[in-house]
Amino acid sequence: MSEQGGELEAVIGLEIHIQLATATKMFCSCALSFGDPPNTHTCPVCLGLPGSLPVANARAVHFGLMIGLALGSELAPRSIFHRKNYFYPDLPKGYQISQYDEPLCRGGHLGEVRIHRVHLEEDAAKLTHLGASGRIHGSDASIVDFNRGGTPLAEIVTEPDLRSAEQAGEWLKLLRTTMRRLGVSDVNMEEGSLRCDANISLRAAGSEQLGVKTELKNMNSFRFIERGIRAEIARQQKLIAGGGTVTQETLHFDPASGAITSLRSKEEAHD
Amino acid sequence: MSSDLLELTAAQAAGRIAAGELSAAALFAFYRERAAADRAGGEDGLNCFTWVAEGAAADAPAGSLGGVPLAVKDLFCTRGVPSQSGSRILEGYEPPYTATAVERLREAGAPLLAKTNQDEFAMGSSNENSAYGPVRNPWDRSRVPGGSSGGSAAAVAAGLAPWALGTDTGGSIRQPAALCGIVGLKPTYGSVSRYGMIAFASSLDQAGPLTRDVRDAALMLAQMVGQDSCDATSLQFPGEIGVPSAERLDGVRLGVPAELSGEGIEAGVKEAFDRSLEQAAALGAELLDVSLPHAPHALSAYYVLAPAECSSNLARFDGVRYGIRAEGAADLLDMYTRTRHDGFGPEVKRRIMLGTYALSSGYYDAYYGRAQRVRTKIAEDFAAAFEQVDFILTPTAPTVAFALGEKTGDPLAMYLNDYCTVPMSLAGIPAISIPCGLSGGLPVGLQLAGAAFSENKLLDAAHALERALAFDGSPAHV
Amino acid sequence: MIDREEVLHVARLARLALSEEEIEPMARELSAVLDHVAAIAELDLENVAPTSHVVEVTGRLRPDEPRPSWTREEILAAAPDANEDGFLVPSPQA
Repeated sequence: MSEQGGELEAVIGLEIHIQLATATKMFCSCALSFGDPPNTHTCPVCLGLPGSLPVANARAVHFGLMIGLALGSELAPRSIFHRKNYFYPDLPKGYQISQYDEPLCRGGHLGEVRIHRVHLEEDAAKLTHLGASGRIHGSDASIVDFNRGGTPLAEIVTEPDLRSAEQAGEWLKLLRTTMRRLGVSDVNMEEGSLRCDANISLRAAGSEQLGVKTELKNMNSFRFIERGIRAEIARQQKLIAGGGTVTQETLHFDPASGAITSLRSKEEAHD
Repeated sequence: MSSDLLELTAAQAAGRIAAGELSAAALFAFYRERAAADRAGGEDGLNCFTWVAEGAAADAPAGSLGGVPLAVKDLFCTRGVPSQSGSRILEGYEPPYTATAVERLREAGAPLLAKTNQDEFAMGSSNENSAYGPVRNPWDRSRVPGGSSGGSAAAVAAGLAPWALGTDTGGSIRQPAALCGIVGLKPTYGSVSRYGMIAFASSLDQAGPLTRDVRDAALMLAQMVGQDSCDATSLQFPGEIGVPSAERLDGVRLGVPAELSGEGIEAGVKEAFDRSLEQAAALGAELLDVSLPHAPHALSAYYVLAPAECSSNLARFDGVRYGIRAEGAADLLDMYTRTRHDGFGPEVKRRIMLGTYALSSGYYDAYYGRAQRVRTKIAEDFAAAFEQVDFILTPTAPTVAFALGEKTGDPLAMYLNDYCTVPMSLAGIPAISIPCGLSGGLPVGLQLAGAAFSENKLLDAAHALERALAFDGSPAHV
Repeated sequence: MIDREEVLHVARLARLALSEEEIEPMARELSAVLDHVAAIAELDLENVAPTSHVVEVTGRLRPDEPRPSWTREEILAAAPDANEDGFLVPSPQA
């Protein structure tokens, strides 16, 4: 782990999405579900039908505030939802309702790790690739299931205070236990009620300056999170050792092959 | 009996029905036939409607509106009835639910008679931007009825509907009401639920009545206002909307802002406006000069904010869940871009582009951010004015109805139609247009605006002026 | 002031195909409108708060009580393309 004799240390921050254990969706009265037949939990609001309007779920806001209190965050005196515009079939309105400059909670910490912010948003729908079996007009088809669309999410963003894959895994388990005790979420990674992205960079040990970071998306089990972060740290070390530089990008870790690949398609949809 | 029915205002018709002198079914059949004839008339008609009820009304509950049938702007969602917002992208779309405002009016006894033609997604001031063809002005078939609620305004003016529901974003009720010689009211933002209104610019859109007289406007509004659990921005209206009855304006202070009543107003409109001021003074009103220093910038702010909101609101028309989809797309991106190319008309495309540009990184602060600040200044201007006066009076539109095709090639010239109505929209305050005279045989509108939730007083003042002005509301050909 | 390249860039962001004949008029018309609205750049708006809500509405939340969802038949009725399970789209991965 040397570059011109100096040690490199990893700097890791996490963005965790947890599905809140409410009875209904974030902005409509459809019941939350898991594993039910597709498109059986929808209404004009969560389908983004013309003329429909969102009304926020009181319990989701309450859960968000409970998370903030548990993490010692500063709670916002008022909170505003924003639209994050991008086109994708899993996003029925062409924008996701999220929070931007006035999140529900700011600051706080859990254990040694500082919390940057906690905000509320709505989950996307599920897109399943049908492949050639579902061809429409000569191209492969996907099917959109809006059951999950509009599920309330709390996004918890940490400061870059983690230093290793193991530490990240341990801390995430602490967060899971905390959320479970609060009763705000099932925090079940297999069912997708806990999802984690990691921002990873390397820097000379002891340095205050942050290196260029990459974002490792949507790892869906504790084992994969640690393996994924470890693989990305190794990739960056190798790159730097070889005289190269890290470029800022969004990456996907494939647990089967252990490979890390760049993931750009959806990013292009953003402004 | 037919010409007799045509003479009745909605309030009078409701009264006759309540007294047992007229059957609601007969009234519905009378207007249904007139509306259907216009729809069947093609080029010879006014093209006011995109849909007309086929048979008798689905049994309307006996409410205070007494069974008087209602024409509804296309952009209101009506269950099982085409709701296309004047756009090809929603051609044939039948929503599975009904807008709150329409539902409330139905429950109060106003059955759905027809859906009215409009500018596509309410973007326009002439009704020439409809995918279903332009509407003609009943006063002069070679002229526009105004927009975007042009079908609603022309239908009421021509006696094809007793009254109609419209929406106003920057003048879309008031300006066509003015150009067609009827009454149009934009209520305080938030007083009527927007649930089920196909959105153009959410922070500006408001539903309101287009009627033959001020009393009808009050009668309809009374049944529309109120909080709706489906619209988090809807508010409980303080008190009830009463029946306007004032005949004098003694002690009422009326403000005339130089910024909206001088430059750019054509001579005939200005003359009719000045005569209205004389009438107001004769009724006992005190006329005062007021200043709205930022009003001249309202149009600029509006043409940043409204397109910005529309570009986001119209992102959902993507060919996935409803509406048309372009055939033979090579991939997802191709499907999106071609569906939206084929489905949207030129003005909608222009505003989506304008809004996307204004919201794009690098331009956000210069356009959207500044426009939101101008909006704050405009609201402050009105607040200051209402410390001095009760209402503000302006012409509703700078011109009378113009010729079809006259302004279609020049978007900016078209946008100037909204010069006098946009400031009130940005401030969210109520404003009413009443006919105040003719210029060259075409109606001129007078706009009265009041502070938020001043509808009752505003309607009273409009009622007094309406009586004094004694406008003859029938276009020659009816 | 808006050129062809910018028009195409914005059209791409807006997911709007433009035919060759639409590009030049669009550039011209957008430029004209933007020229007009540029007047607000000259106003002194220091210390002016942007309007975020026209009327103040607070605490308008919904109780977390489920209501029946809509049937699949109802929601798929208007779909341009669907199978029995849901909405079909050209695959983003294709």
